[in-house]
Amino acid sequence: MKDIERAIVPSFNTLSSGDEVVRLVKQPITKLQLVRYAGASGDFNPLHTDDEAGRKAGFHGVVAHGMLIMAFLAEAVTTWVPRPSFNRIKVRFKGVTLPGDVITVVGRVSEKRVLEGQGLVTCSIEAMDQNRDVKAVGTFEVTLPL
Amino acid sequence: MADKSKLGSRYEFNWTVERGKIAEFVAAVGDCDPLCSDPEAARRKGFQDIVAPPTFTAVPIMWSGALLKAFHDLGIPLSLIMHAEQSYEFFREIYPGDVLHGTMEIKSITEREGRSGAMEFVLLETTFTNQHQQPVVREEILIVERKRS
Repeated sequence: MKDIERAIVPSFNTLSSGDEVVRLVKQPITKLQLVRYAGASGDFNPLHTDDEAGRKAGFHGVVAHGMLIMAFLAEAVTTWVPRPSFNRIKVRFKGVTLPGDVITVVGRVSEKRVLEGQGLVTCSIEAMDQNRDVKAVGTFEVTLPL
Repeated sequence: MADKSKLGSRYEFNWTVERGKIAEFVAAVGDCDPLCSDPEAARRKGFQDIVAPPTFTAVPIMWSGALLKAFHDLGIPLSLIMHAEQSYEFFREIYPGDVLHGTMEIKSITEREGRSGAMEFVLLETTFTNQHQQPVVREEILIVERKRS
Protein backbone atom coordinates (compact mmCIF):
# COMPACT_ATOMS: atom_id res chain seq x y z
CA MET A 1 0.00 0.00 0.00
CA LYS A 2 1.18 3.48 -0.80
CA ASP A 3 1.92 6.00 1.93
CA ILE A 4 -1.16 8.09 1.41
CA GLU A 5 -4.27 8.53 3.45
CA ARG A 6 -2.81 6.20 6.02
CA ALA A 7 -4.15 8.27 8.90
CA ILE A 8 -7.74 7.34 8.11
CA VAL A 9 -7.15 3.71 7.22
CA PRO A 10 -9.32 1.45 9.41
CA SER A 11 -7.52 -0.65 11.99
CA PHE A 12 -6.92 -4.28 11.09
CA ASN A 13 -6.63 -5.43 14.67
CA THR A 14 -10.06 -4.30 15.86
CA LEU A 15 -11.95 -6.01 13.00
CA SER A 16 -13.86 -9.21 13.68
CA SER A 17 -15.55 -11.68 11.38
CA GLY A 18 -19.15 -10.60 10.82
CA ASP A 19 -18.52 -6.88 11.42
CA GLU A 20 -20.53 -4.67 9.10
CA VAL A 21 -17.89 -2.40 7.56
CA VAL A 22 -19.68 -1.09 4.48
CA ARG A 23 -23.17 0.36 4.13
CA LEU A 24 -24.15 2.67 1.31
CA VAL A 25 -27.71 3.65 0.40
CA LYS A 26 -28.02 5.08 -3.10
CA GLN A 27 -30.62 7.46 -4.47
CA PRO A 28 -33.52 5.74 -6.30
CA ILE A 29 -32.55 4.60 -9.81
CA THR A 30 -34.13 6.80 -12.48
CA LYS A 31 -34.61 6.27 -16.20
CA LEU A 32 -32.61 9.46 -16.71
CA GLN A 33 -29.75 7.90 -14.75
CA LEU A 34 -29.76 4.90 -17.08
CA VAL A 35 -29.57 7.25 -20.07
CA ARG A 36 -26.68 9.05 -18.40
CA TYR A 37 -24.89 5.80 -17.60
CA ALA A 38 -25.42 4.60 -21.17
CA GLY A 39 -23.82 7.77 -22.50
CA ALA A 40 -20.99 7.81 -19.96
CA SER A 41 -20.07 4.14 -20.33
CA GLY A 42 -20.91 3.68 -24.00
CA ASP A 43 -23.21 0.73 -23.23
CA PHE A 44 -26.13 1.54 -25.53
CA ASN A 45 -27.91 -1.79 -25.26
CA PRO A 46 -31.54 -0.55 -25.76
CA LEU A 47 -32.64 -2.86 -22.93
CA HIS A 48 -31.50 -0.08 -20.58
CA THR A 49 -33.03 2.97 -22.27
CA ASP A 50 -35.97 1.83 -24.41
CA ASP A 51 -39.04 0.42 -22.62
CA GLU A 52 -40.13 -1.42 -25.75
CA ALA A 53 -36.77 -3.24 -25.92
CA GLY A 54 -37.14 -4.10 -22.22
CA ARG A 55 -40.61 -5.56 -22.83
CA LYS A 56 -39.35 -7.59 -25.79
CA ALA A 57 -36.74 -9.09 -23.47
CA GLY A 58 -39.49 -10.13 -21.04
CA PHE A 59 -39.35 -7.28 -18.52
CA HIS A 60 -41.93 -4.56 -17.80
CA GLY A 61 -39.67 -1.96 -19.38
CA VAL A 62 -36.06 -0.83 -19.09
CA VAL A 63 -33.73 -2.50 -16.60
CA ALA A 64 -30.57 -1.00 -15.10
CA HIS A 65 -27.11 -1.83 -16.44
CA GLY A 66 -25.51 -4.52 -14.28
CA MET A 67 -22.38 -2.38 -14.43
CA LEU A 68 -24.21 0.51 -12.75
CA ILE A 69 -24.88 -1.77 -9.77
CA MET A 70 -21.23 -2.87 -9.97
CA ALA A 71 -20.24 0.80 -9.74
CA PHE A 72 -22.38 1.16 -6.58
CA LEU A 73 -20.73 -1.91 -5.02
CA ALA A 74 -17.23 -0.59 -5.68
CA GLU A 75 -18.14 2.93 -4.54
CA ALA A 76 -19.43 1.44 -1.28
CA VAL A 77 -16.03 -0.13 -0.59
CA THR A 78 -14.32 3.23 -1.15
CA THR A 79 -16.49 4.79 1.57
CA TRP A 80 -14.66 2.48 4.01
CA VAL A 81 -11.05 2.22 2.85
CA PRO A 82 -8.73 4.48 0.82
CA ARG A 83 -8.43 3.55 -2.83
CA PRO A 84 -4.90 2.08 -2.63
CA SER A 85 -6.16 -0.37 0.03
CA PHE A 86 -8.84 -1.77 -2.31
CA ASN A 87 -7.32 -4.87 -3.95
CA ARG A 88 -10.14 -6.72 -5.64
CA ILE A 89 -13.86 -7.32 -5.92
CA LYS A 90 -15.86 -10.07 -7.59
CA VAL A 91 -19.64 -10.26 -7.82
CA ARG A 92 -22.35 -12.41 -9.34
CA PHE A 93 -25.49 -10.70 -10.61
CA LYS A 94 -28.65 -12.26 -9.19
CA GLY A 95 -31.52 -10.18 -10.50
CA VAL A 96 -32.41 -7.11 -12.51
CA THR A 97 -32.73 -3.64 -11.03
CA LEU A 98 -35.60 -1.44 -12.16
CA PRO A 99 -36.17 2.32 -12.20
CA GLY A 100 -37.42 3.38 -8.76
CA ASP A 101 -35.39 0.74 -6.94
CA VAL A 102 -33.35 1.97 -3.98
CA ILE A 103 -30.10 0.04 -3.82
CA THR A 104 -28.34 -0.55 -0.52
CA VAL A 105 -24.86 -2.07 -0.47
CA VAL A 106 -23.74 -3.93 2.66
CA GLY A 107 -20.31 -5.44 3.30
CA ARG A 108 -19.19 -7.62 6.20
CA VAL A 109 -15.84 -9.01 7.28
CA SER A 110 -15.52 -12.71 6.54
CA GLU A 111 -11.81 -13.44 7.00
CA LYS A 112 -8.61 -11.79 8.23
CA ARG A 113 -5.06 -12.91 7.67
CA VAL A 114 -1.55 -11.49 7.77
CA LEU A 115 0.61 -11.70 4.67
CA GLU A 116 4.10 -10.17 4.36
CA GLY A 117 3.55 -7.81 7.25
CA GLN A 118 0.20 -6.49 6.09
CA GLY A 119 -3.36 -7.30 7.00
CA LEU A 120 -5.54 -8.82 4.32
CA VAL A 121 -9.27 -8.62 4.95
CA THR A 122 -11.80 -10.52 2.84
CA CYS A 123 -15.40 -9.35 3.08
CA SER A 124 -18.73 -10.41 1.70
CA ILE A 125 -20.72 -7.78 -0.16
CA GLU A 126 -24.21 -7.58 -1.54
CA ALA A 127 -26.50 -5.08 -3.21
CA MET A 128 -30.21 -5.29 -2.48
CA ASP A 129 -33.29 -3.23 -3.20
CA GLN A 130 -35.95 -1.75 -0.88
CA ASN A 131 -37.64 -5.17 -0.65
CA ARG A 132 -34.34 -6.85 0.29
CA ASP A 133 -34.25 -8.57 -3.08
CA VAL A 134 -30.57 -9.27 -3.71
CA LYS A 135 -29.28 -7.89 -7.02
CA ALA A 136 -25.64 -8.85 -6.73
CA VAL A 137 -23.53 -10.78 -4.26
CA GLY A 138 -19.81 -11.33 -3.97
CA THR A 139 -16.58 -10.71 -2.11
CA PHE A 140 -13.91 -8.05 -1.93
CA GLU A 141 -10.45 -7.82 -0.43
CA VAL A 142 -8.61 -4.90 1.16
CA THR A 143 -5.11 -4.47 2.57
CA LEU A 144 -4.81 -2.75 5.93
CA PRO A 145 -1.71 -1.91 7.96
CA LEU A 146 -1.16 -3.98 11.10
CA MET B 1 -24.20 -20.68 -29.48
CA ALA B 2 -20.89 -18.91 -29.34
CA ASP B 3 -18.35 -19.65 -32.05
CA LYS B 4 -15.80 -21.74 -30.13
CA SER B 5 -13.11 -21.13 -32.77
CA LYS B 6 -12.83 -17.60 -31.33
CA LEU B 7 -11.45 -18.90 -28.03
CA GLY B 8 -8.17 -17.11 -27.34
CA SER B 9 -8.96 -14.17 -29.64
CA ARG B 10 -7.40 -10.92 -28.41
CA TYR B 11 -8.51 -7.33 -28.86
CA GLU B 12 -6.03 -4.51 -28.24
CA PHE B 13 -7.06 -0.90 -27.83
CA ASN B 14 -5.76 2.44 -26.57
CA TRP B 15 -7.84 4.93 -24.64
CA THR B 16 -7.03 8.44 -23.44
CA VAL B 17 -8.72 9.23 -20.14
CA GLU B 18 -10.41 12.63 -20.42
CA ARG B 19 -11.28 14.66 -17.34
CA GLY B 20 -14.73 15.38 -18.73
CA LYS B 21 -15.43 11.67 -19.24
CA ILE B 22 -14.57 10.99 -15.61
CA ALA B 23 -16.99 13.77 -14.57
CA GLU B 24 -19.71 12.30 -16.79
CA PHE B 25 -19.19 8.82 -15.30
CA VAL B 26 -19.15 10.16 -11.72
CA ALA B 27 -22.42 12.03 -12.35
CA ALA B 28 -24.12 9.00 -13.90
CA VAL B 29 -23.17 6.74 -11.00
CA GLY B 30 -23.78 9.44 -8.38
CA ASP B 31 -20.39 8.60 -6.86
CA CYS B 32 -19.97 10.92 -3.87
CA ASP B 33 -16.22 10.33 -3.33
CA PRO B 34 -14.58 13.80 -3.53
CA LEU B 35 -11.41 12.01 -4.67
CA CYS B 36 -13.15 11.48 -8.02
CA SER B 37 -14.35 15.05 -8.55
CA ASP B 38 -12.36 17.55 -6.47
CA PRO B 39 -8.68 17.97 -7.45
CA GLU B 40 -7.89 19.91 -4.26
CA ALA B 41 -9.40 17.21 -2.05
CA ALA B 42 -7.46 14.59 -4.02
CA ARG B 43 -4.14 16.48 -3.58
CA ARG B 44 -4.77 16.95 0.14
CA LYS B 45 -5.02 13.16 0.38
CA GLY B 46 -1.71 12.73 -1.44
CA PHE B 47 -2.96 11.95 -4.95
CA GLN B 48 -1.61 13.85 -7.94
CA ASP B 49 -5.11 14.66 -9.29
CA ILE B 50 -8.65 13.33 -9.20
CA VAL B 51 -8.85 9.55 -9.56
CA ALA B 52 -11.29 7.74 -11.84
CA PRO B 53 -13.96 5.66 -10.03
CA PRO B 54 -13.04 1.96 -9.58
CA THR B 55 -15.24 0.67 -12.42
CA PHE B 56 -14.28 3.41 -14.88
CA THR B 57 -12.69 0.92 -17.29
CA ALA B 58 -16.24 0.07 -18.41
CA VAL B 59 -15.80 3.24 -20.50
CA PRO B 60 -12.82 2.15 -22.63
CA ILE B 61 -14.19 -1.40 -22.84
CA MET B 62 -17.43 -0.15 -24.39
CA TRP B 63 -16.41 3.03 -26.20
CA SER B 64 -13.35 1.39 -27.82
CA GLY B 65 -15.74 -1.11 -29.38
CA ALA B 66 -13.61 -4.03 -28.10
CA LEU B 67 -16.42 -5.79 -26.23
CA LEU B 68 -18.91 -5.38 -29.06
CA LYS B 69 -16.29 -6.69 -31.51
CA ALA B 70 -15.78 -9.76 -29.32
CA PHE B 71 -19.54 -10.42 -29.14
CA HIS B 72 -19.80 -9.93 -32.90
CA ASP B 73 -16.96 -12.38 -33.54
CA LEU B 74 -18.52 -14.89 -31.15
CA GLY B 75 -21.78 -14.58 -33.05
CA ILE B 76 -23.82 -13.75 -29.95
CA PRO B 77 -26.53 -11.12 -30.52
CA LEU B 78 -26.53 -8.31 -27.95
CA SER B 79 -30.18 -9.00 -27.12
CA LEU B 80 -29.32 -12.48 -25.79
CA ILE B 81 -26.43 -11.44 -23.54
CA MET B 82 -26.84 -11.36 -19.79
CA HIS B 83 -24.05 -10.21 -17.49
CA ALA B 84 -23.44 -13.06 -15.03
CA GLU B 85 -20.33 -12.03 -13.09
CA GLN B 86 -17.83 -9.18 -12.94
CA SER B 87 -14.52 -8.91 -11.14
CA TYR B 88 -11.74 -6.36 -10.77
CA GLU B 89 -8.21 -6.52 -9.50
CA PHE B 90 -6.81 -3.04 -8.90
CA PHE B 91 -3.08 -2.27 -9.21
CA ARG B 92 -2.86 1.49 -9.68
CA GLU B 93 -5.06 4.58 -9.85
CA ILE B 94 -6.28 6.00 -13.17
CA TYR B 95 -5.77 9.77 -13.60
CA PRO B 96 -7.03 12.30 -16.17
CA GLY B 97 -4.67 12.30 -19.15
CA ASP B 98 -3.61 8.68 -18.70
CA VAL B 99 -3.32 6.70 -21.91
CA LEU B 100 -4.58 3.23 -21.16
CA HIS B 101 -3.68 0.20 -23.22
CA GLY B 102 -6.27 -2.55 -22.98
CA THR B 103 -5.90 -6.18 -24.00
CA MET B 104 -9.11 -8.20 -23.99
CA GLU B 105 -9.00 -11.96 -24.44
CA ILE B 106 -11.73 -14.56 -24.84
CA LYS B 107 -10.51 -16.84 -22.03
CA SER B 108 -13.12 -19.58 -21.97
CA ILE B 109 -16.38 -20.72 -23.51
CA THR B 110 -18.13 -23.27 -21.32
CA GLU B 111 -21.48 -24.97 -21.13
CA ARG B 112 -23.23 -25.48 -17.83
CA GLU B 113 -26.52 -27.09 -16.98
CA GLY B 114 -29.00 -24.49 -15.77
CA ARG B 115 -32.63 -24.69 -14.71
CA SER B 116 -33.80 -24.24 -18.29
CA GLY B 117 -31.28 -26.59 -19.90
CA ALA B 118 -27.75 -26.00 -21.15
CA MET B 119 -26.45 -22.45 -20.93
CA GLU B 120 -23.29 -21.12 -22.48
CA PHE B 121 -20.87 -18.91 -20.55
CA VAL B 122 -18.15 -16.77 -22.09
CA LEU B 123 -15.33 -15.36 -19.95
CA LEU B 124 -13.52 -12.24 -21.17
CA GLU B 125 -10.40 -11.02 -19.39
CA THR B 126 -9.11 -7.50 -19.92
CA THR B 127 -5.86 -6.12 -18.59
CA PHE B 128 -5.04 -2.42 -18.66
CA THR B 129 -1.66 -0.76 -18.47
CA ASN B 130 -0.94 2.97 -18.48
CA GLN B 131 1.47 5.11 -20.53
CA HIS B 132 4.30 4.13 -18.13
CA GLN B 133 3.66 0.43 -18.92
CA GLN B 134 2.46 -0.06 -15.35
CA PRO B 135 -0.39 -2.50 -14.70
CA VAL B 136 -3.56 -0.63 -13.75
CA VAL B 137 -6.52 -3.01 -13.65
CA ARG B 138 -7.31 -6.60 -14.54
CA GLU B 139 -10.96 -7.41 -14.92
CA GLU B 140 -13.12 -10.34 -15.89
CA ILE B 141 -16.54 -10.24 -17.50
CA LEU B 142 -18.58 -13.44 -17.46
CA ILE B 143 -21.58 -13.36 -19.74
CA VAL B 144 -24.26 -15.94 -20.35
CA GLU B 145 -26.12 -16.37 -23.59
CA ARG B 146 -29.85 -16.47 -23.01
CA LYS B 147 -31.93 -19.06 -24.80
CA ARG B 148 -33.10 -17.99 -28.24
CA SER B 149 -36.89 -17.92 -28.28
